[in-house]
Amino acid sequence: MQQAWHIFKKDTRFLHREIVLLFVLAAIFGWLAKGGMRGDSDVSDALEMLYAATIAYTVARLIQAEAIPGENQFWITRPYRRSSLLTSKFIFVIAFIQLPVLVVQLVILLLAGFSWGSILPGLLWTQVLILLAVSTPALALASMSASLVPFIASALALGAGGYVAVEISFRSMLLFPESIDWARSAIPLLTAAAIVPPVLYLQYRYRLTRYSAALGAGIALCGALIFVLITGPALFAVQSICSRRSYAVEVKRDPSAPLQPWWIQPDGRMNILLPLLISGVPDDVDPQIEMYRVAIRRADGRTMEQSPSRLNAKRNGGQLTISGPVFLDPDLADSIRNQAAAVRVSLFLTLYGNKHAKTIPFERNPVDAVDGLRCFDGAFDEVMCSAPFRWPVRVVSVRSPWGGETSFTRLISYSPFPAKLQLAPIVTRSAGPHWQKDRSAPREVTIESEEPLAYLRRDVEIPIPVGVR
Amino acid sequence: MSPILQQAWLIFRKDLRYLGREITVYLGLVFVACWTGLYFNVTYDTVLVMLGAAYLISRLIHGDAPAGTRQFWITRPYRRSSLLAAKLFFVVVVVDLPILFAQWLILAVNHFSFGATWVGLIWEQFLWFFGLSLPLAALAAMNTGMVQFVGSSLAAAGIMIAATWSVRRDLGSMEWIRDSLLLLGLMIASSIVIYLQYKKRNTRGSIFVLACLSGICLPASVFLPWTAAFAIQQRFSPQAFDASKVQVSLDPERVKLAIAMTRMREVQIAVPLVLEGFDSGAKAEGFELSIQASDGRAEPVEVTDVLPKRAEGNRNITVNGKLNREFFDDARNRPITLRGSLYFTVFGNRQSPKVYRDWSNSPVAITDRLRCSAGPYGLICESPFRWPRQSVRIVAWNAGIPVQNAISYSPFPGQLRFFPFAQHGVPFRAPGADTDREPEFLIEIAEPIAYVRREFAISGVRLTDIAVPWRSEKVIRDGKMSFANEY
Repeated sequence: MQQAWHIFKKDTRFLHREIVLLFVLAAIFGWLAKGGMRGDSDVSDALEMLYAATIAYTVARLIQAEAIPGENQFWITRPYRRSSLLTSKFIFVIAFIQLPVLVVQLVILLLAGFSWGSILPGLLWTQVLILLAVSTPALALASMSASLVPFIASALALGAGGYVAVEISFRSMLLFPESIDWARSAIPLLTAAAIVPPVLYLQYRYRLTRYSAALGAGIALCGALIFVLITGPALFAVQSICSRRSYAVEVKRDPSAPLQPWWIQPDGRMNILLPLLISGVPDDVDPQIEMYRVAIRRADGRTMEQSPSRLNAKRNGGQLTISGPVFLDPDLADSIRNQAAAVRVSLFLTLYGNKHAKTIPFERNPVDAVDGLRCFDGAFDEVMCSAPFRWPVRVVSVRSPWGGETSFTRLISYSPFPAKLQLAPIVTRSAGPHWQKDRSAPREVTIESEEPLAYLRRDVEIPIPVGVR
Repeated sequence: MSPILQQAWLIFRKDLRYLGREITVYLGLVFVACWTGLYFNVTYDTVLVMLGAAYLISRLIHGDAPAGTRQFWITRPYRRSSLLAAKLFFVVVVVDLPILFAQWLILAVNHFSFGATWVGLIWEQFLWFFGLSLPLAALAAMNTGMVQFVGSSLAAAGIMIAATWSVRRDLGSMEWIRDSLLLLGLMIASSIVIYLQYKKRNTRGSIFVLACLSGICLPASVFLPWTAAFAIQQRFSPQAFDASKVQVSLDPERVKLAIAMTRMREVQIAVPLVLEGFDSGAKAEGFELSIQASDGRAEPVEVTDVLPKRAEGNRNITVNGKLNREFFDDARNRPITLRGSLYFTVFGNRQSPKVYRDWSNSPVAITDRLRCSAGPYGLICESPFRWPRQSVRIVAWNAGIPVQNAISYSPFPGQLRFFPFAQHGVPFRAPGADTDREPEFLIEIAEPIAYVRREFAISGVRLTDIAVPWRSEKVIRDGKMSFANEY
């Protein structure tokens, strides 16, 4: 440990310029974030990217001060314990990369009036995310590079690979809701978590750069393939693990609505109309359809998935109607005409409940509401609420004496984690303007919140009406 | 071949061999960007190609670094002119030409003819060279190695972000003037630095020049007043326009003047005006307004915005601003005179082509720089290199819906970007849209024909005409309720 401390002090002297740059950027970010960034998300994003690049640069300089690859570096002949070396590098990362972010975020949040209890999980989780997504990947990559030149070349190659993976998977991302996309976003982090420990062990224990590079590339490739190939139902299955309650919800064909014959057009188009019934939902629970899949299944077992983008789903209480055109290839159309076939619908539901509310005074200064939110009368006469690190996994709405009930947003992430990877620690949303308020009404608003309790998948198979054949 | 060029050729070939891996990385990035552009129809820019260019240029310059005291090439019979020529030739051939080829390929695959795009391709090359490659080469020439280069690049990026954040007022369609000022400063600074480094190896002098020019150009572009930008824009008016023909008057049909009775030091006002005197549409770009009391005292109004903001709006505009409370209290019961300058763009050369619904999404040429397709999901229009300097609106559902709200009045054929076309669209899923019954869509195109400043004075106005409750947008006038910022 003594040796680690000595190396750490040496690195601090050696990298004092980089440390100053990191501190200056953290201070600028804190200053801009405190001023609310004036709503300029481009500046915020650019600053976050710059900060990440500066972290990667500093980590590369730190590790390459005692580079692992190569044959003629001085430190191999010195009495350096490799465990001391690695420990000192981690101390540096914690002290000069992780802690400044923690301090800046803490100051911003405390100045904004958030309580310790509401910000502590987010603060710690942000540290984990920065460590997993930026610091340790840069550490592992730098340990496999002899200098900054191959480090940058490798980073560019990895960036290009990531860019291609995102582009390839972009279209499939449109087919499932954003609320469960956190599970896909976690794949790169899990991949990094799988790569970093073995690479650091191989490098600092045995200096096996080629093996480390091959291992890292292999795991990265697997991660990229999973990222590209993972489907919406698979992500929803991951989400289902986060269900907090179980419900005996059933989906079946609505017996009260007769099934009309479906006709196959000469171009293979078939307009379907599926009346379904969702039952078993308690009164205080509201089901929301996240997505649905429709597939045609022939008697011989062959199925054909249909694009849900052309279909409409209308829900009225427990009754659900899915309608719209499906397109059949000639072979499938012929077989449906001649054989029994069925349409299989997979419904992915989120059940909302546990509604609670709090009435708060409506003022310019933020006031504590529900679920860690602080709400206030915004600069442009809007009902605004702020949350630390991320918007809570809740549908939050406001009821005011001068208007009805308006929701802040229904686009929420179901991620169970208390923060996402970003430096700006406060998320603010608006429930819209309140221009028409009655001045004589009491200046109070009621903030209501409803949370997802269960994520369910239900499949139902219905024979295609005979009239189609 | 002259000895200088012969030596330059030798150095160039040496660099090609020496930088084989870096060239592979860079060309790989260009390929990835081109591939995603072709197969995924990506139209947003990627910074990866720019980062790759920075990496390659830095390695190229540091191969024979002008900065430092221990580099080998100083003791060799290298002519500095040969060295510089070799490096610039490398930048053009290896860094910039692949981008030209990739952009041409993307345009050709998307059926844009070479005849319609060659000017833009050359302009893009100019921008890539002077806006990116040359500044990167200058920065690299002041550093001895990659570590210094990355450190100074990060610092420069931080300064640029801080400068962007400092911009107090967006110039809107005239933002190209700010960008051009920056580009001009970059060109001058880069050229001087490269001259100083390759002629005299004077790194301190180069840093001094760079600091001085940055100290002049950055504030000049960041704090450029929009009135100055408009004056520059006026020089690019395609047609002459007699400003005296334009009449500015208070709108008698709408709320005349709205005064919010705030308790604060400033009183909000909203002035509804009618512009007359031109045949086609106009868009208000900016406004200067002052109020003169009957005793001759004048007080400027801080104009906050002019509505409507969208391009080529109607002739009825509303000017919102703030007025000093003391002046307001003094002048509220006496007639006042509104004096101001209106800065506006006159649109003309209208065209009204039709686009027929085509489920295959095949684009149809609307103008020489614009083509549109009306597919199952909406109308999509695209243009090579940049959105044309035209207001393009789809006339549907009894309204004119802009395909792209923000247009640039830049006279140049492109902007610094990798993906060589701009694409914007309007979804058909608008409220009340019965898309199945509309086989065709009428498009209205108009282009700016003049940028005009008009000074005016409106007398006999009373500030107390309307008074509204604090923090309300409602205005009571003659017993009728309406909205202050109605337009």
